[in-house]
Amino acid sequence: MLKSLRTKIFSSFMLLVLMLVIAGIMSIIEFNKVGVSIKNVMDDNYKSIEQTKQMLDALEREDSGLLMYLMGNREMGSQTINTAYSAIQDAIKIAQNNITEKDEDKYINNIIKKYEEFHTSVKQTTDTSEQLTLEEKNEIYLQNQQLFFSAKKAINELMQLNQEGVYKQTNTMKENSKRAMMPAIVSIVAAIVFALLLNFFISEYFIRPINRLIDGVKSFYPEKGIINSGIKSNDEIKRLETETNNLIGRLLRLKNK
Amino acid sequence: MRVSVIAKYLGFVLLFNALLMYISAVISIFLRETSITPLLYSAILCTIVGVFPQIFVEKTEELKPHEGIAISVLGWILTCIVGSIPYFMWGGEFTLTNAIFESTAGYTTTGSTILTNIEMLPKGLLFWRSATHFIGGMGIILFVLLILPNAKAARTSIYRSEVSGLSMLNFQMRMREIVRIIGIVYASLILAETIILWALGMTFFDAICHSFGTLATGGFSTKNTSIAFYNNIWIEITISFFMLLGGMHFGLIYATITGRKQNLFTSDVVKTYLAIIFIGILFISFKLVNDHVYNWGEAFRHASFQVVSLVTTSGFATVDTSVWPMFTIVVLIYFSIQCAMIGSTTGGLKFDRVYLFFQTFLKQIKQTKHPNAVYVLKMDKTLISNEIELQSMVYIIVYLVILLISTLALSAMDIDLITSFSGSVATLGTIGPGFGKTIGSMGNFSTLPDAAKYIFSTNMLLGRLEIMNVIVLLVSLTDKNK
Repeated sequence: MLKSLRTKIFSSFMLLVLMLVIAGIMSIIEFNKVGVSIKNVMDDNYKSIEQTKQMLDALEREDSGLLMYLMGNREMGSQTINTAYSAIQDAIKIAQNNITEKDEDKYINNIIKKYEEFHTSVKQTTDTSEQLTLEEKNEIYLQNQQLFFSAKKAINELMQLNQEGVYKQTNTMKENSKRAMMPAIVSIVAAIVFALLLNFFISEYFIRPINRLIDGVKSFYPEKGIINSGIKSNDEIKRLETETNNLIGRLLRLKNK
Repeated sequence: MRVSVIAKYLGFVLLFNALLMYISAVISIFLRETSITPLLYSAILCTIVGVFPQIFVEKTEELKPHEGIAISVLGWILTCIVGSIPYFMWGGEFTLTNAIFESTAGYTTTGSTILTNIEMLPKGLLFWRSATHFIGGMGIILFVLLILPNAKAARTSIYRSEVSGLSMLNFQMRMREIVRIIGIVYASLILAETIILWALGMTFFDAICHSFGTLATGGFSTKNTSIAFYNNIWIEITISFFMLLGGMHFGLIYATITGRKQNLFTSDVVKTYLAIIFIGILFISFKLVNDHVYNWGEAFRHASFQVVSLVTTSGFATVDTSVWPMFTIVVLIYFSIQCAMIGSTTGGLKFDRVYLFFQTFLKQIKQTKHPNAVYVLKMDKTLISNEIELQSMVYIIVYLVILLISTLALSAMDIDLITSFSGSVATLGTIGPGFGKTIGSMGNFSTLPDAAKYIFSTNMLLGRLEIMNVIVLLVSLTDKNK
């Protein structure tokens, strides 16, 4: 137990400061986590979703290129197919370097496999289309459509995976931001309780003894000899009572001389 | 009443809670979980607020009886509130009401939950949840007495307010020794059960959490489907055995281990208690077989586990009892009201009082027949004073009245009768799950209104504090002539 009043008051305020400082640090740490979650959403999941959109766009362009080629616009069709192929390859490379979700690599490998099947079929069609009749071209195009939808489905699955990732990250962000606020909320309540307690202790250990001392001085008469205000603590107020009694003793001795 | 002295002891209570919060925080830090901040900050907060009164208040050895009661009652209330901070700060399913409910269910060793998915909780928070059982099982106040140096007279005053007179019958030793024995028996049994469960295939984490839940007769599990998750008869037997021990008078367990004359095997109360449990198991098993719910083996296995789980107020589950026949539910409700022995970690009415009630009843019949004869009551060869006899009878009546009031209040919220009644029985008896689809052995309290959760939380506290202390404190606070 601390004895000096100064130490008691200083320790109380230091505890309050410590509580608030720690709450601040905890909030900063939690807000930092929110920042990391935002970065994850923006940099990782959003980038992956963008690449899947590029893939879908390129895949549809390749399909249009094939249609153009079969309709007789061979040069334009061939050019569109080649451009779409490069775009898809670029998007796949970026997606491969941006794995953020569990099993995302398996989804990308599935896209590569399905797309290769589609692209190989497109190439075979363009290579042999000169000898085909209109009905045969129509039939081959319909077969390519199956592979086209299969590749499209694989890309959509990757997009869905990343969208779910965004949803999860957003939820995490929501939870983290709530958690970041919590130390502050709890500290406000604790600080109020702390202030009430401090007020009680100050009144109990400082104000009341001083009032007792005042009452003791007021009701003092020389025959009583000393002031006994019933202070039990061993602090400055007790010392004040002792010194007051010493002073009274000295004054009484002086008077008796 | 000296508020500052009470604040000093409540500070010790906070510091003890902080200790277990730090341990939980370390688990979270080690596993890099989302519960680091909630646990660590709560621990720091408890430490700071707990240290605060120690700065001002002088060391006090003398405590008045009503100060002891105030420390005991307020200590429990404060503990339940601060214990909810980690849950509330973590969020998820924990609103403020839910956090207070879960914390109260933990400390009072009730084991009721508002969680629909326990397994998604971080390990640190799961440990904290089980640690509240550990603290509550022995009693936070007794823990404080155990670690409090040089308290002497204060220790006696607080102990008398924490433990009922009837439970002191089997302790013929000094107060300090009693607290020490309770601590030793409690810790030893937890250690033994943890090792056995671990050896039977549970992870060490699950083993220690379930041991806390078993010996404290709490019932918090780390799995959504409680003990049914393991589907292992040896784990069920082990947990049943330790639940039974948790429901016995710790003084008698200590006496048995140390080879004293009056022990578990010589006690008439223990023999009657075990015989009634066995009869209950037989009744339920017979009904389950008769209604083609299970074969004899399965019926005996599940009936044994459920009866032991409810009579010891643990609340662990291996099956969904809401699909059992009504007769079995009625038998289980009887055990939920009767509960286990005084001097144990269990809550509820307690078997010793029921035993004493029937002895008093028989005494009254004899007294009516022979008005001039003098009859005395004895429990395990110990003479029961009229004061203890009267205390027990009053307790039974007050308990049943509170049960009735609670059921009425819950029914007023349009909660069905089985949920209102069984919920009141389960929370006042600190059992955990009630009956019916909502709060049955595989259900939870999440869908109930907030007001109902507060009623249940109050029931749990009343049940754990054995009602009378709360009433005495309220009377002391309102009595102008105190």
